[in-house]
Amino acid sequence: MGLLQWFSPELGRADNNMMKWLISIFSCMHWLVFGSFVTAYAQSSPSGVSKGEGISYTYDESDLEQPSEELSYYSGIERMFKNPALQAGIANGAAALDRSIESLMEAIFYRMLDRQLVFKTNTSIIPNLNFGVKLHRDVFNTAVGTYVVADQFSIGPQYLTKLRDIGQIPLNLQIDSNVNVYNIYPRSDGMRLAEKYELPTWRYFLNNWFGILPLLTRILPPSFNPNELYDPVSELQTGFIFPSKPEVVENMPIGSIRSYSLTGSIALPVELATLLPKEALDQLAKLEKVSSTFPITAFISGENRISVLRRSDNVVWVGVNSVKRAGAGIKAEIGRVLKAFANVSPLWAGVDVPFFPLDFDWVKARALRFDQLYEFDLTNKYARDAYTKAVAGDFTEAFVRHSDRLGGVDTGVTFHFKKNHDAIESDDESSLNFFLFRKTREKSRSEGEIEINDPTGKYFVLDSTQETEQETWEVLTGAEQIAIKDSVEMRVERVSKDNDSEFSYRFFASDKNPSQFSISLNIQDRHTDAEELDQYMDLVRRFTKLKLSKVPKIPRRSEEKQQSLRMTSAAIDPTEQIQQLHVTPTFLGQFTANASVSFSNDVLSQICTKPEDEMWAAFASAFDKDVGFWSNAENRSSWTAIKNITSHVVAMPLRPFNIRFPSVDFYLQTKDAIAALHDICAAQTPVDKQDHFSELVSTNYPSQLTEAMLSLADRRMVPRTITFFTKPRGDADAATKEAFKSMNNQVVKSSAAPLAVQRHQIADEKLSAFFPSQLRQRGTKPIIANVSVNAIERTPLLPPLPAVESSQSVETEEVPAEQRQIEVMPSPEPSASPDPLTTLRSIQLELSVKNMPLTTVGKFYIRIESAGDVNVGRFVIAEQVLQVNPLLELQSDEATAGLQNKYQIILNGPNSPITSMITGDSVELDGGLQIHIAASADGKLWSDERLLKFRFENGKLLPPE
Amino acid sequence: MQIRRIQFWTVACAAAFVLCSHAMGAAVRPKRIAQTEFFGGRFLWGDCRLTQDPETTPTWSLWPFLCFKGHASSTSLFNSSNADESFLGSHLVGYLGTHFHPLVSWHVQGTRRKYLDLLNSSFETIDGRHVEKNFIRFGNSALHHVRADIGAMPMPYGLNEQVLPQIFYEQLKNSRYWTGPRHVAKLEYDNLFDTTLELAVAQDVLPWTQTEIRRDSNDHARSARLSHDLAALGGTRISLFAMELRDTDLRYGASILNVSSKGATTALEWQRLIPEDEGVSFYQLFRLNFAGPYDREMRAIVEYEDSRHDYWMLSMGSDFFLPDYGAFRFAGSYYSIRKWAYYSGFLLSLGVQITI
Repeated sequence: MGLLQWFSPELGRADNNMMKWLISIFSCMHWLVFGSFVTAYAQSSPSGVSKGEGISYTYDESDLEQPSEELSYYSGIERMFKNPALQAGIANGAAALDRSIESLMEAIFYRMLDRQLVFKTNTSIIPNLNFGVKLHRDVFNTAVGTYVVADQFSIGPQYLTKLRDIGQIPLNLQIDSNVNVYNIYPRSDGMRLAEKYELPTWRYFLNNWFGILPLLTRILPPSFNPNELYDPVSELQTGFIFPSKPEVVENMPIGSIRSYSLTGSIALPVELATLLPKEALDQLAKLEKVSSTFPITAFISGENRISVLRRSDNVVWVGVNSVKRAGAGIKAEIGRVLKAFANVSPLWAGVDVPFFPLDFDWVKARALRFDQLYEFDLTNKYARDAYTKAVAGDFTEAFVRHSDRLGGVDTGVTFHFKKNHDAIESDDESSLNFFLFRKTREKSRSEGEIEINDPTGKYFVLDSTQETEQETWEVLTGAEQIAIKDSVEMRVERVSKDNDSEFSYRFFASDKNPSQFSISLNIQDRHTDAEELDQYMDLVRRFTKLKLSKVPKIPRRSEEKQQSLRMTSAAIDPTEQIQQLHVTPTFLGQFTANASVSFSNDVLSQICTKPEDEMWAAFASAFDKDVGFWSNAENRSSWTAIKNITSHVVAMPLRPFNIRFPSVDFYLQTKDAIAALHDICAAQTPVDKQDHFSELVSTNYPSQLTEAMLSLADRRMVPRTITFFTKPRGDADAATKEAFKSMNNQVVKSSAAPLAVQRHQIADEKLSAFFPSQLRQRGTKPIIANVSVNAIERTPLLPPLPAVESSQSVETEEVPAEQRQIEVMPSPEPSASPDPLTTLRSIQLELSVKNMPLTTVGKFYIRIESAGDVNVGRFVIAEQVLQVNPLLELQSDEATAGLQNKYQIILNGPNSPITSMITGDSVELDGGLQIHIAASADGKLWSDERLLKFRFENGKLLPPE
Repeated sequence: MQIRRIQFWTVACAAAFVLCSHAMGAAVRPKRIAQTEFFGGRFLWGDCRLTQDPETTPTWSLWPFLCFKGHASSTSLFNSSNADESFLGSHLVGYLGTHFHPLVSWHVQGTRRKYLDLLNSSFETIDGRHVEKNFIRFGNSALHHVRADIGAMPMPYGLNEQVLPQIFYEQLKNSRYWTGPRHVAKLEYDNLFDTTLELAVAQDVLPWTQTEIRRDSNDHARSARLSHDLAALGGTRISLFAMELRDTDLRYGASILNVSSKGATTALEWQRLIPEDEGVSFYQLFRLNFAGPYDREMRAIVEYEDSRHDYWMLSMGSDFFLPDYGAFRFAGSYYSIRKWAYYSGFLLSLGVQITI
């Protein structure tokens, strides 16, 4: 049976001779049309040459795009350190999925490439004991074209057994212990390719998987990142390269981190799902493949970590972190994980497609955290000895050398601080996860005491903090994050009682303003449209009570497009309306806003002495409730407990699903907040104040709390700041783009002076240097300040350019805004000469690079990609690191002063140093092109990667489409 | 043998054409369809686009008007697995919209299809000719939030974005997922910004069989479709839809339609059909397709379609636009039939389409 019979079984096959003629005629028609079209095409080709105007482009610093845009990964990386117990899982899973639709492909490919080597061995000596070894690599993008590579090695046993049944409930015991080693370092495409000149050939080939990696780079989609696979040797070495001796530090790249830790945990999980009624269990069992778990767990965990950060050639920081936690947690989860593409290959398990309408997690624990930081100058022999002992965990000698240094001896050891934090922490997280859409809310709270020891002495801070992060992620536009941090800090001194083990706190007599309540708001959205921008501006405006009168107003939708749509759809066939989209809000680009508000002790005292009616009015306004109604005490008293309970009974079951109604929660939230404000003023001791501050910040609506408090405060005394960062993208009209661009780096401040930075905040800043998000290559990076693209006539091979010999280094500086204009200049028409060498044209880049020593041959990373409409393949034409001499004759006065060097690179044709990977010949270019380019003096410290887009057709340079 | 030769030359010529067009570069830039109007804008064809904004222009200066559009295509299809299956199909579609007033319009569309078996040289008429749409609309898509339609028209269900030459859809596949009712009453609400809700009931539903609309049915159906537009990737529409046929046959699904800022269209559609009394628990269609923008000399077409229990097929093709009036269409597919293990092969089509 044939294909058509299967699809069309009724189709008969009557013979008809006349039809044979028709077949012949129609076949002839096909070829005629075909032939005439080809002919027409061929004839029309020359006319295309005269269509385009030859031009050359000059891109300056502001116009050159930075190809990598992922900033949100930082949060993913930080979590590895914030919560080591979750190390690989969160960063690998959640962060990798935080992308837009083109990044959905990325997520799929990264998951394909994740190499998590887990060996588990069941020993016969001790049943239920597994022994695991894990090698894992994460690669995170940064905003400047470099990546952060985090190689992880862990090894350790895991023991899991069922202890007994308590009634129907199984009680289990789980013991984990691990050694974790991290090697975290920056990597760029330029660094990767430049290693060709530094490494032995065999190692370079091994790093590139014997040529397979460059091939994959060229054929896989742009989402494929070769740094995921590059240099497997380093990944394998992760467990064995901890810098236990100063000599080993010399092999670490500057700015990189190596870190190891010992972790252990004991947990007693109890599965509460077994307590469900039998009928419910039967129903769940019927839902095939739907998993439902409700474990409650008591746990004790600990981690001791030593990290080494190479700050410069000779200076390293050694940090110690220790965390001990004991507490309990509960998790509720109902859903299913499907496997997409599971049948594509027997070697690939497919992509996880989670559907979890309920995913709720809550943990409460007592946490003792300890952080300590020392600095060692490894040119000093005392420091070298002290370093060797410190990285083994013994800091005694380091402290002695630090004391000696304070005494005037040059020991090269500096003690920065020691910090103890004893707190009760609670975290809850609820999310809706439907693979293509996810909404997550995380809230973490801690209340405790910080003890700071630094070179200027010892003191204490009582703190209470709450962080609330709401993230909405959908496959088309990626993640939108709104995070609010409420933080109260009180500087106190500890007073010991008769018995040294008992103590109390009191404020310093000299400190008139010991308490500080700070609230910060962070909004991040990579894909912001004008409607969202309106909402964000409204949130920021209400959060700070600043007018933002200078911020431009951008219309939500293009009036021109709406008019055009009306003209088209007035006469549309109604059944085709499904294919006719409305005019959507104007896409603007990337948006970030940071806002902060700080209340001093005096302002807080003002707020809590306000009349209660005024307080209710302020909160009602913040929650968009009727201010007149709620500011009246009689009306409030009519709001009976029954009404309140009823509304909460309706809203409560939806909270685990991350669905909340501010208007329903308004009454209780306001009542609790006002009570807490009164209690804060009435409290006599620091500890009482801290408790009531904790009650105040433990709100589900921190932005409304801030708005209400600002309404009550004398705002002239409240320092408030907003900073905007914008990056226009997309096809909005020029005026809209310009308006959005004008918001970039705009800072709006209140007139009140900011509160002074405290010593413990400086300690926190130093500690953050160990977060990979702060990972930076140290040194003065080259800057590609200007690129000019020209179409030039081909000439016989150019003689090599002479190298120059003088050297000079200068500081980085910004190009003034007034110079940031694209120059478009007509280039000469192609020559009429019949000489084939001159009728062909080449593309020449002329680059101005700052901070390049004149003696050194510049190294340039260049990747040429074909830019088409369908981005399903990378279409890399060439990818190389070139060594280029600076052009002496083109150097300007700035260059002679060491400010700026000029270089020329020909991209195609016989004079080009760029060769095809496949043929080894020079490349020929045509059509839409994307050029990624970065510069370096030494092959290690690279400039930010830049992106140029243009078309090259028939010897003409044309703008990108 | 003759068919083999035809297939060989088809592939060779198509390859030569593509290579030539690339070698010659971007030389020809035909328009999509000429927008033509007569009688002071009272007779429109092509895109049927008004010359003035209907919101701000007096009604009498634009209404009444007629909108006519249509296309004729002729395509040959070759199957590599079975030389007996090579077809020639012609397809003619004409549409006329008569807009009396912004509040009332009448829409009619007729189709004529013919198929020719290349081996046996026989005409096979799949449907001959029939009126696909014939309904009256109250309200205007550009101006009114609430609109109502009455008459013969497709139910508001699914997306059914078709990018390949028509012969693929006619011959090969998923007719069971669509219906062609004779009597429909539809009500829709559109906020004119981003969301549309459509509700419909129908009598005398004419479900497709494998090849033909059944004309003897008096089934009834209900359907609903909710669409929401997002400012994502140029513009993206997400739709959810459901239909109940004969009170027992349930079908539902979702689709995403993206129109990029350059005009390229990407559509993803999924739907599931739970039949009343057949031997399978459900049928399921997954279709992903892409079509490049019209404003070039050529646009690429890619489609992957997977029908549970039936087949999967991956197609790629190109439309080479002829200036102002149509396109030369070329597409190739690899298919695999699930019911018959190991039955798979390539399909190749060549055709022309004239559009007005």
